[in-house]
Amino acid sequence: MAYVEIRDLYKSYGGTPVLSGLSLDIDEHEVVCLIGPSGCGKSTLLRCLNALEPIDGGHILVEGQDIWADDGDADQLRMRVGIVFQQYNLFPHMNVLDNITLAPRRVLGMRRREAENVARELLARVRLEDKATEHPDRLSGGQQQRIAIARALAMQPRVLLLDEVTSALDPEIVGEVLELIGELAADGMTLALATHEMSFAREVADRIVFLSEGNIVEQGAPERILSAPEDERTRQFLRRVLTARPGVVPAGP
Amino acid sequence: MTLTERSTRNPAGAEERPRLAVRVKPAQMVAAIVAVVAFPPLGLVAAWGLVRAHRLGKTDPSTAIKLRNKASRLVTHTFGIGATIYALLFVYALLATNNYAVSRAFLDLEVLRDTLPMVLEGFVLNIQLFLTAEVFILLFGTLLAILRTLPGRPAALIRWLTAAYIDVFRGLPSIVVILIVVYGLKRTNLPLLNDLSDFWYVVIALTLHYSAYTAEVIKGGTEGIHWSQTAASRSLGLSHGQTMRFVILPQAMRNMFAPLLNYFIGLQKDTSLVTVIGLLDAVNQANIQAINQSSLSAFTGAALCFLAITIPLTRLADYLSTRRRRRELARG
Repeated sequence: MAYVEIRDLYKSYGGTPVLSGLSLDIDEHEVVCLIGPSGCGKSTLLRCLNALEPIDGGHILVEGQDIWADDGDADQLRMRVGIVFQQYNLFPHMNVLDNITLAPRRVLGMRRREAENVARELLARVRLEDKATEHPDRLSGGQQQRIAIARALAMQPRVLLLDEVTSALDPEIVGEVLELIGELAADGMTLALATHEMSFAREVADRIVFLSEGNIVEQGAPERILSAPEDERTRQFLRRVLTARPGVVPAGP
Repeated sequence: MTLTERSTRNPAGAEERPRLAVRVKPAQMVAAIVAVVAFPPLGLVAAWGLVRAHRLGKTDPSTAIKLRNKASRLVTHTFGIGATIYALLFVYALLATNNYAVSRAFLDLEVLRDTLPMVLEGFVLNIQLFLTAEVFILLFGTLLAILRTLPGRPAALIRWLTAAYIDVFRGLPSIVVILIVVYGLKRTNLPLLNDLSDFWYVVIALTLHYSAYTAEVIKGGTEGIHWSQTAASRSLGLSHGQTMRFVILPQAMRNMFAPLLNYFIGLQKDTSLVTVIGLLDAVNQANIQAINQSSLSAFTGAALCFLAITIPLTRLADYLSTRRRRRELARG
């Protein structure tokens, strides 16, 4: 049984369908990259997986438990499934340490000392141990995003969802965040990430899932999806994103 | 030709580029004419500057534009100085006409001095009402705001009821609420509520009324915080209440200070409405003194009391909102 099971998921915003009957399994220690044109539903899928959006139909099972069933518990789920956003969404009125320790203290009931120890270890892991007392607006985008990842990790999630976490960053600092994600993947963290970084996806993913118009068009090993896509929509999408980035050789069918 | 070559050959650099003729705009001429009429000594100087600028417009554009800008600044100065002089003249005329009738009515210093102790005594009541009511207003207003923004479908009825309450009390003049509460509650024979002092009835009335405004300010302040903050907080497992308490409200506070202060100022002024139910506040005291002394100067004393509180508060509210705007600009 997969760790996360998505069955026949429907979601629409004000009558506009965003996800239409999508099914997807994510195994433990697996790194799944979601790719697809904007509006294809990959962000919505991740937000649904964190129960930030109520769903219109279908089931999301984490560890076999249906989170929207009557006995489901969204807050329980969120402890196991963390999410990092495109715009970092750090709390601007708190320093870095408080950003990271807020949830462990208030949700897990950790003592301040204990939570801060965990936070400092995480800061070391994202190589920002000297920024503990800074406020987020004093940090660069890349640093803020690494703090956001540390904040999500502080809840010790089993799965980490990464929603286009490098899309808001300047090109020259995308690398430091990707490097960190690569390390998480190497450590065996279960990751589901929506991304536009195709070369990164090829490098880090166990499986690439191509979405279009709210459903999965095709999925498979990175090499196969990126080098030999079967569906015309995948080919079109890859041509567009790969030619838009000079220096990357377009992968033709 | 490089830049350096050009600058050595032609240090001024201006002659090479033919400048466009300088024209005085019609609006500037009209403004100058108004300035001449309003305050001739400065207005004439400014107008003369514009005329010279107009004449030099084609032959010496760079001098003309300097003249024009200077003259046009002088026009603005003229308006300011002229307006000040006229305002002072107007006040003086008002006070002096009819053999200083207005002065005697409102600015009889002797009457002012004699009545001020009574007025101040009354003003203590205004301050007490203001401070007491404010505590309850903040508490009740916050409660209303929380109820008004409860999430989820089951809370829809609570939200609707709170919205109805807020709409009704925001829509009523405060004097109506005071009259209804004071005269109404007294007749109800309800236990506890029918034998309070008038002071507490007024506190209740002001709380009912102003908490509706306060709730709206708090709600507006929390809604001004981007939803992504809520998403981030909930995604970490914090509950709605914890999200409000630790993430949203601390950020929203900054946006709430200035508008809340404005309502405080309104409240401070509205405490004078107790005059209609016969409580002896500053205004009522002034009214009594005015009848006794056949001079209205006591009202001037009451006015000064209120201004002594409201003007500093107004300046503070202004300062806070300017500072917030500057901070937002700085953050980009």
